[in-house]
Amino acid sequence: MQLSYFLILTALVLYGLATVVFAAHMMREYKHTARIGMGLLLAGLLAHAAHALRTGSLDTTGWLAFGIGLIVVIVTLRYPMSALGVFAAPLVFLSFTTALFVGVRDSSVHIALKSYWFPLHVSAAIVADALLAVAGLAAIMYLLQDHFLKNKQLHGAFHKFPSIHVLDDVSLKLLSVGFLFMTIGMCAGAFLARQYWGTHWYEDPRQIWSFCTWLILGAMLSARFFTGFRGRRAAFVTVFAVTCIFGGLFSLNYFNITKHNVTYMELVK
Amino acid sequence: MSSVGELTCVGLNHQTAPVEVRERVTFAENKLTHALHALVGQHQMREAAILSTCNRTEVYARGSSDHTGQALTQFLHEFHGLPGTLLSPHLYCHTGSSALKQLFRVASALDSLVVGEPQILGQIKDAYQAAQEAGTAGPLLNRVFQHAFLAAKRVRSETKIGNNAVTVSFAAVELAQKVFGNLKGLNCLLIGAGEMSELAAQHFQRRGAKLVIANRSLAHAEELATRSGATAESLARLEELLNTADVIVASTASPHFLVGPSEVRRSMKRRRYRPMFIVDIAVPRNVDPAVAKIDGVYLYDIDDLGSVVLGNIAQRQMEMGAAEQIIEEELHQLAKQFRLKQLGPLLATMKQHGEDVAKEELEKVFTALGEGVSSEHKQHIAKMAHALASKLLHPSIHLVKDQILRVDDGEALLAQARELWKK
Repeated sequence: MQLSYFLILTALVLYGLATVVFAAHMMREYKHTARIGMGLLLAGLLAHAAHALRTGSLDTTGWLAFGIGLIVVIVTLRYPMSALGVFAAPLVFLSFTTALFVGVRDSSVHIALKSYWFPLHVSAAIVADALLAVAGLAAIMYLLQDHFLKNKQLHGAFHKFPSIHVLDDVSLKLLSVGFLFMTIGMCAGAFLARQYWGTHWYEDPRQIWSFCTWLILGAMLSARFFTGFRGRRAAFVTVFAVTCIFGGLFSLNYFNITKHNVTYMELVK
Repeated sequence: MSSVGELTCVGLNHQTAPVEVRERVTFAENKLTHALHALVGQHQMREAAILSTCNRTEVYARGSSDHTGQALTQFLHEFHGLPGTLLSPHLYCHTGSSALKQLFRVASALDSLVVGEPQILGQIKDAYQAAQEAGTAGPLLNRVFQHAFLAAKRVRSETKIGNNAVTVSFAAVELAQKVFGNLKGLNCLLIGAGEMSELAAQHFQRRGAKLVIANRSLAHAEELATRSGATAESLARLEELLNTADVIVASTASPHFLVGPSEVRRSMKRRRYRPMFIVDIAVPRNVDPAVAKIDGVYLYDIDDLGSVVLGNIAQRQMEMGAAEQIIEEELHQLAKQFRLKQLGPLLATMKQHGEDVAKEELEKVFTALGEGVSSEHKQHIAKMAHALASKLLHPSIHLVKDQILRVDDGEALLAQARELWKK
């Protein structure tokens, strides 16, 4: 068996196991399940990284899975949020499986593009997407915990979720940093477009969509920082914005109506 | 050598005696050393420790006769100057492994009024320390108390018997932590200066919250504020106080609502929609239930908190089985340790017996052979005789050791083996 094949299979199995262990953690009172789940997720990330470094793969969905997993591990080191793994592990597993078996068209865009803007554009966009995805998961947890507290459903998941203050704080911080990376990615993308198509704004549906969601996020963050917009409504808007970002991007890719789907050869023409 | 069989426990608790009886047999801290010395001196106990709390008084002792239980009962009557039979209907007496089990259950808070409460372990540690300082804790009590602490630690860490609040005020604190995480630096407004407010004040203050007490009578508020290091305010400033309050505990005797949705809505706007946690433990209620519908406001009344507490108590009861299992395991482990210690002399006797038989037979052989055998040959023969004795005894020693350590009634087997190998 080739080493790269072994690594990718190991990562897949570890992500799958982490999903199962986190599900068990949520459903039953097993000791140390959250820690075991986090350990499996981290081990999966290491195998994933080893595979990526060995093959030099630039599969965006695969990297997105990696980014989500890594951010979850970092967040749980800082906050008592092991329950985040319950939502994140299946997402990582699904993204990784999609990248492996379904294949993503823009994976063929190769690093050979001779512009510094290209790696900056792609990496900033992946980091931003991963941060926003985890912010969305934290917002979903906020809504659930708020529901439990409001309706006095004080059992099961309620005890495993952190306080709503922590969830709000984590969601806001991830959203802010994600917005920053999104801005960097969009600027780098605009400069890249200028180099290859002669214009910053080339009216690609994905570019328009990203700009619209960037505006929504920007408006929401401004409201959060300057007007005290917070709580359940802010969590709803976060979930809505993140759903829009990912829903839009996947739909545009699926229907192949964006230049982001072109291959490297087409791109350099 | 000490054994579990020598341990006796005599005492009473909240289940066997009413408070009028319990309060007559408590041992004040300054009289504890005197009582321990009396047990060892006048009542001829070899070791003794006294556990005295508001819910129980128990004497653990290693006696020097078969009547230790009676002697301890007599001691309790004499020390407290009570008539001969007053305590008898309320006292329980455990001996041997039953006394050990009682100590383990008490230390693990399985015998407490509130199952899983954390104070009892500290109280037992104090009782043990007092016995050590008085010089009345010997090898038996040292071992059993240390093991009881170990069992209690296992019960707390391996079960959820100590999890979740079982009092209304503590349940309120736990819920507040689920809203704000850390309570340090939060503003806690207590509406009313009654007993419930004082209890809640202690819990919130212990977690670093800043307290403000608002009461219709400012004098009462100031009195409580001085005791608890809070700020006193008049109830007339209530709406203003709501603007800065993160946690509100209402417990006044007011017959109508003191806090309504319109005031809270205005306050939420002024506080830029930071969450607000309201506990209304007053009956009739002080906070309009419509407040609960406001976004970012979490309202709990006495019934809500009551059901949280009941649920938590039920959960603790459910953990009892697992806790009892741990105690059984630890009792078994300790009994094994004691038996292992007692096994040493028995094994030495068995080996010595083998040596003696070999020596006896060698003397007979050497006498029969006379001078015809060289000293070198004699050495070889002696070596063989000792090796034979050792090898023949080996399976028996192994079997005795294995059986006595493994089976439940190892004590009886040990006694039988001792009898068998008695010289």
